[in-house]
Amino acid sequence: MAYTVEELVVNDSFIAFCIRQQPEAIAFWNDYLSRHPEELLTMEEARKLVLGLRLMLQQKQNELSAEEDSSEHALYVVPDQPSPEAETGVPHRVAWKKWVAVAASVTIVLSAAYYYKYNHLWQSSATLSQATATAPRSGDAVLSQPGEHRIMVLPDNTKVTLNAGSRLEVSETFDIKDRNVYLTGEAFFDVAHNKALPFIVHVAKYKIKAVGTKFNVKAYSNDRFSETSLLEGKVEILLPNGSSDVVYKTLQVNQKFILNTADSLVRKAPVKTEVLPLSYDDKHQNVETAWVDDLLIFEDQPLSQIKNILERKYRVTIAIASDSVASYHYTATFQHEDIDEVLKALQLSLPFLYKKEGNQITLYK
Amino acid sequence: MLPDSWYTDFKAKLQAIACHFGYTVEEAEDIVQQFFLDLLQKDLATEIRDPEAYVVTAFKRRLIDLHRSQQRKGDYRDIELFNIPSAQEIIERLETDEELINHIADAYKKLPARLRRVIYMKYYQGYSTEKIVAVTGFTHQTVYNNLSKGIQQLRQNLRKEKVLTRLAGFLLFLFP
Repeated sequence: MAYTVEELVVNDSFIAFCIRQQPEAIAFWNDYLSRHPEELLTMEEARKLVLGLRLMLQQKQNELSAEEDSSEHALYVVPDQPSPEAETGVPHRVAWKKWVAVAASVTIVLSAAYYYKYNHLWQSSATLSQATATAPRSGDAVLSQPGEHRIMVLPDNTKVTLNAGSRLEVSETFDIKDRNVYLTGEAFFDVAHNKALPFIVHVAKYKIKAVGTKFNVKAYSNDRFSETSLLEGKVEILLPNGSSDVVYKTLQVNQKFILNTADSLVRKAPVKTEVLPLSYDDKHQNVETAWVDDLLIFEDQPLSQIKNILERKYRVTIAIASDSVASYHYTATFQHEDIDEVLKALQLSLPFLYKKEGNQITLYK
Repeated sequence: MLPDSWYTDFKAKLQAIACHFGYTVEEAEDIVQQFFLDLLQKDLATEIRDPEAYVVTAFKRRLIDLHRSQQRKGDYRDIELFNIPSAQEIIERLETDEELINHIADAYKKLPARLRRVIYMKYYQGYSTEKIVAVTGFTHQTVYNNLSKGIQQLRQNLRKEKVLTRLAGFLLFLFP
C-alpha cells in the first residue's frame, strides 16, 4: 500500500524521519522507499511540506500574538482552556464549608478536629476534574477522559458540558439539515432556540427531542439506568417503534425519565421506563446536574452504583470484593475531595476496608 | 573515508533515483552497490557539509556517465536537471528566502481556524496525533481528518498562490 502526500505529511513517524529524530522511523521509511522506489517524488514533496511548515511556523511565531486571535489572519487560535478554579467558582477559603459529612443509616458526629484536618488535607490535594473548552463542527466527535469535563459550544450556539468518560458526536449535516447529536455517557445541554430544526440527542435506546431548553442526559453503557432530567423548557422522549419513533412522554420541568436496562442481556426482557420528579438536596441543589458544578452527590445510592461514578471521576478501577459492602447505601455530598478523602468519609458512615495499588482500588469487609 | 551511515541513510534514495530513470530494481541495486564501492576508494575532502547533497550529486553524475556509455535513449540532461534537494538545502532555502516563507504563511492563514489549530500543534509544538487527541478532546478520527483536510487545503492554496504571485522559479522546485 502506498501513502499519499497528505497521509505522509500527517504521519508522526514520517515527520520523525524528515527531521531525522528516531532511528526506527528513519529505518522504516528507508525500507519503505526501497520497496516502493516509485514513491520517491511523493515522499520528497511530503518532506518539503513537513520542513516548510515547521520552519514557517518557527519563523512566524512573533505573529502568534494572543491579542490577534480574533483577526481573520491570526496564525494560531489559542485553545480556550478556562482554569479549573475559574470553572468551579468556589474560593479556597470557604471550601471547607462544602464538605458535607456523610449521613446515611448511621449518624456520625464530626469533631472540630476532624474538620480542621480535612480542611488542610483538601487544600493540599488538587482536584482531578478540569474543564477544557472545545468547539466541534459538523461531523466531529468529542471525547472526555475519566476525571475530566469538557465544555463545548456547538455550531448552533448550543452549550454542552460533557461529563467524565463520555463521547459526543455531531452529525455531518448539523445546523444545516438537522441538529442531531449522538451521546454515550453524560452531558448537560443548554440548547439554543431553533423551532425549525429540533435538537435531537440520540442515546442507546431512545432519543430526546428539544427545541430550546436545558436538560441533562446520562447514558453510560455500563450503568443500569439511563436518565434524562429536564430543568427548563420542554423535551420529548422518543422511543423506537419499528422503523419510526413514538413520543413516549413530554417531560415537564423538574421531571426525569428513567430507562432501566438492567435486564437487557436477557433476551426479550422488557425495558422498564418511568417518569419521576427530580431530586434536590437540603441546600436546594439539583442532584442530577450537580456534577456540572463539580459536586458529587449521592442520594441513598448503593455502593455498586457509586463505584461507577467514582471510577469515571477519579480515573480509578474499583472492585468490590463483598456483596454486602456493594449493597451499602450512602447519602453524601462532596466537592473537590480526592478519592481517598471520599472513601475515608464513606468508611465513617458504614465501615468497610479498602486497599489502593496505583489506580486499582479494592473494597472489602 | 566514507562514513558507514551514508550507505544505510542514502541507499534507498539512490536506488529510487535510478529506478526513476528507467533502471529495474535489480539494476538499480547493482549500480548503487558499485557506486558506494567506488566512493570508498576516493579520498573525500576532510569535511563534507551536506552529505545528502554530495551523495545525490555524485550519483547523478554516475547515472549520466552510465547513460552515455550504455548509449541509452533520451536526454542525459534530464538527469542533470532532476532536482532533488537535500533536507539541508530545503532548510537553507527556507531560512534565506523570506518570500517563500511568506508564501507558505499566506497559504496557512487561509485555512479555517480549526485546521490551523491542529497543524500548529503538530508542526510547531511537535505534538503527536495522540497528544493532540488528549489536549483537544476530539477523537482520533476527528483530529486525523482535520490534519488531512488542513494539509490538503494548504497544498491547494500553495498551488493557487504560485500562479498569483508568479514566483514560479524556485517555488517549482520546492512545491512541484
